[in-house]
Amino acid sequence: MIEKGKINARQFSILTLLFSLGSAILIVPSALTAAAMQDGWISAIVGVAAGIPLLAFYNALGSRHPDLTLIEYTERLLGKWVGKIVGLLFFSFFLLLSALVLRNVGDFITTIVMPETPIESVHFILLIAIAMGVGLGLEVIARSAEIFLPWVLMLLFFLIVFLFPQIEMDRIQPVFESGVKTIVRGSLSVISIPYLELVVFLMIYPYVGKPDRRGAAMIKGALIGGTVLVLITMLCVFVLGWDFTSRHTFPSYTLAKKIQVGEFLQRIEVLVAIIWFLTIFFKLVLCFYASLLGLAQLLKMNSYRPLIVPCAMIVLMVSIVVYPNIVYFRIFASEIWPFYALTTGFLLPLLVWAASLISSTGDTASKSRPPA
Amino acid sequence: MVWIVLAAAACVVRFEYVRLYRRKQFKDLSISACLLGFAATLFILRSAHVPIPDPLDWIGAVYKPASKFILSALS
Amino acid sequence: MVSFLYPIKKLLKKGLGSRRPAGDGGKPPAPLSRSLDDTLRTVKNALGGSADLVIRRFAIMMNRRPHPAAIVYIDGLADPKELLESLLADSGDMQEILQSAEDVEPVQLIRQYLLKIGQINGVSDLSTLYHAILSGDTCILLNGASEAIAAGTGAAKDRNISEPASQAVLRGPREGFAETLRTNTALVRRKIKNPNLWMETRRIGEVTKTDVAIMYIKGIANDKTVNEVRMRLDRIRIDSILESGYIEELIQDETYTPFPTIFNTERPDAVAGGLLEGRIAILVDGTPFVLVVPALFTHFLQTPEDYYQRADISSLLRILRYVCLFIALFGPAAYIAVTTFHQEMIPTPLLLSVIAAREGIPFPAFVEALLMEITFEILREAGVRMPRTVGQAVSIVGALVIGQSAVEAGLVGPAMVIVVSITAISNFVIPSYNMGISIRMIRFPFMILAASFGLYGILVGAIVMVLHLCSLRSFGVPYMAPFAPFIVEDQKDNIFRFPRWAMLTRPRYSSDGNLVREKDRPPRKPAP
Repeated sequence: MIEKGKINARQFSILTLLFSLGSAILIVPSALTAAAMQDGWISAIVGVAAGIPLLAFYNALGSRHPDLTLIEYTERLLGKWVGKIVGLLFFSFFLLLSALVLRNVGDFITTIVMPETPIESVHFILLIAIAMGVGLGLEVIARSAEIFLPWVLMLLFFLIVFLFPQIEMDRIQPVFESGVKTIVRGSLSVISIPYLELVVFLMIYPYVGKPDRRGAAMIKGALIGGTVLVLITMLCVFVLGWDFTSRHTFPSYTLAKKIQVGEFLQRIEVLVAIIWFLTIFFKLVLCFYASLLGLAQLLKMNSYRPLIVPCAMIVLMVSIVVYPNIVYFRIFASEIWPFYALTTGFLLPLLVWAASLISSTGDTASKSRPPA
Repeated sequence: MVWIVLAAAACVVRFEYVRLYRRKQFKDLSISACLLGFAATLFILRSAHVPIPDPLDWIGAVYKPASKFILSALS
Repeated sequence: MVSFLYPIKKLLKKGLGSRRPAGDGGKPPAPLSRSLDDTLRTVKNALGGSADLVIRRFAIMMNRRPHPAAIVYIDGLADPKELLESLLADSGDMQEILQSAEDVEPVQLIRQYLLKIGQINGVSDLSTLYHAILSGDTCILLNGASEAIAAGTGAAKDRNISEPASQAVLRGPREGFAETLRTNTALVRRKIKNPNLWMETRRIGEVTKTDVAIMYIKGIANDKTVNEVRMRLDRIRIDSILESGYIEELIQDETYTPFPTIFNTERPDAVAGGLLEGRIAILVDGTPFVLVVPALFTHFLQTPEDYYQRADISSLLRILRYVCLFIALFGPAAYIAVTTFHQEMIPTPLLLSVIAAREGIPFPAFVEALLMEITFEILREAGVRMPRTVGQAVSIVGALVIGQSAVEAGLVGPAMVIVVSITAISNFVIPSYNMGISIRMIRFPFMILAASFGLYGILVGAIVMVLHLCSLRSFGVPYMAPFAPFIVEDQKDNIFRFPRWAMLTRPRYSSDGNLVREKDRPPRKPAP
């Protein structure tokens, strides 16, 4: 065990909540409405409903080996070579995810907040914070999440409350116009961002206290996050209309622009951007942490600390290179990402789980469950 | 950007690698050094305007057919 | 640049040699000589013939023969009046006792006879003798005896107990610690008259040999923490301890943090409150500032007065302190960020006047803010150091005049002066001075971040700061408890202060086991 920290169940659900809000809240409403038009919120609900069994599956997998991380038991179960290759696939998924999330932040800042700043410097100072967070360890990350949670919740609350006067119920009509197929297609984006990415949490599973509380904590956090996503999507449709939402890259930010309280509290969308920013920070730090821990466990190192700066540099480079413009990203996110995430987030863990069942070296902590 | 990255690499060598060397953790040291060298090379190449390949292209190439199939079934 | 590459060069030259630990030499204590003249000469030479060393020779009649004896003390530190009376004036009684007992050591007899003095110790080696003399004891030396007697006669004149200058309250005791260790421990004992209040002393500092005392309530304080404190104090190797600040630096958990992890106070009631929560007090002779350990972030934003005033007022005042913490930390940075990057956030009428005011100013907002902040820091520091009579006038008028003139000269904008003043005043709302200094220091990096990256930069800086805060520990206790990890029971004394009838448990982290404050009768809510 390279990480000596321990977090408790409450911190775990807070981390799950912040992770699920992460970049999803920024880009998902747009994808949802692009696919399902004004039924985007139904797609969101379908996506969340599909995400919960997925999380139950992750919990089942994690509980079979309560003291090992995903990459550790992958290697143990699938043998040295296959295990290492699958482990590498997981690692590259985590690293690529970190780079994509970082690029999301960079895009957001340079498009909306400070267009004149070069994107590399935005990435660079965020990476300094990330590197520091990862270097300080999981406990510190969890505690900071606990401290930032009230702010995120408070700002979300203000966002929703201040927008109430601007809701127009007609914009949601006609309901169910798109049909089931389109709704399911739209829900793919919610499933892939963030629920399939929650496989990252299987790297943190062993460090959460009390193994029987882990699954409930994770589902609780993800459910709350999913609810917020649904709410935000609904608000986007209600306040902006589905066509605007599908056209904007960051529709929730446009939502915040609409806040107007009296004459003086307007154009405070930058404050609301704090929500997006904090949640993306935690998603990014957890992805990066999972990738470093995974690589260190794959290569049987003593600690992941020497990897921090080199991997941060690689993430920086990948995040700059990874797509030339936003159009590429939107096509990628809607057409290719769900399937890549499906492979690494569902099929590969399924493979590991099957191997675990077959070899029945599952830890005796699960002996309370009768053998299948 | 390159200069900042190279300066950061120098700091890593000075602070982290000296510590690893003293503790005789050569495996960690070599792995980290490989990655650091790789990253630094990427940055130097980029500053020389050499195009760096894009991982998303590779993933796209792998998943494009499956994506076309499933999405056309759904719409 | 040289020191940057130094370890690498050293390693390449020497290879993997490990650093040798510093050597430690112990000296066995030198015994007292049996000859009186020898001892007296040694003592005189050791003190370099200091003029305040008083040696009074006299003779004690034993077995009808006079035995030479002497008393040694330092004038000003010791007050041997009573000792001299009992030794020299009542020599008749003493001679009777000495003549009647023949086999007993005369030193033991004198020890038992000197009833007028409270503290009497035997001294058998030179270093203890020196320490006794220099602590204000009067030493009685007898020719032919292997032991000397140190009689406690210390009578150092101490300051009157008065309200501490740095920590005043509106309601509460107006007592403050003084400079003598005994006075201070007595002040604490007066607040907690419980036999479980235990005290241990140590002598720290090779040259100054300062007395340092630890006080804690056995059964409430965590034993592990007490051991940790003992261990850290015993580990100190330094030549002088002049103030508790030295000890603070030497025993704190981490040196590379701007935030204080050890609390200091001049008030006995604050110390007593801390002891009752299970914390440990460290008192240092010679300074009124007492250290209280472990110290968490919330402790630096609490005052003893919170517990004396009503719960609702105290809660509101605490919230005000947290608001002021944010203003002091982010004030100038937010102003710079908003005026440089996010002008759209300012309501239009205000924006027009701000822009109009900034029209003639040659500097960007960052330089303007930096100028005003540095000026304010100079004024503040000067106000502390100036002689009392001049200080008040210069600091207040100076701030106003300089601010006004700077605005009229067109160097800074009036909005900037307002921001800087509010920031400075908010800084003083933070009750603990060392936390206030930390906030002052951290304000500047935030200003730099705001000038380069706007609100995004401030946010990244805030994240880095929170990460750092969450990684700190004070004697093993997480610094940000009870915020994170979030402890539900301890929220009653965190930002809000719940009424007295709800304060039933001690903080979970400090105390060990003995969590319930009142065991048998939970206090009832006041009924009409």
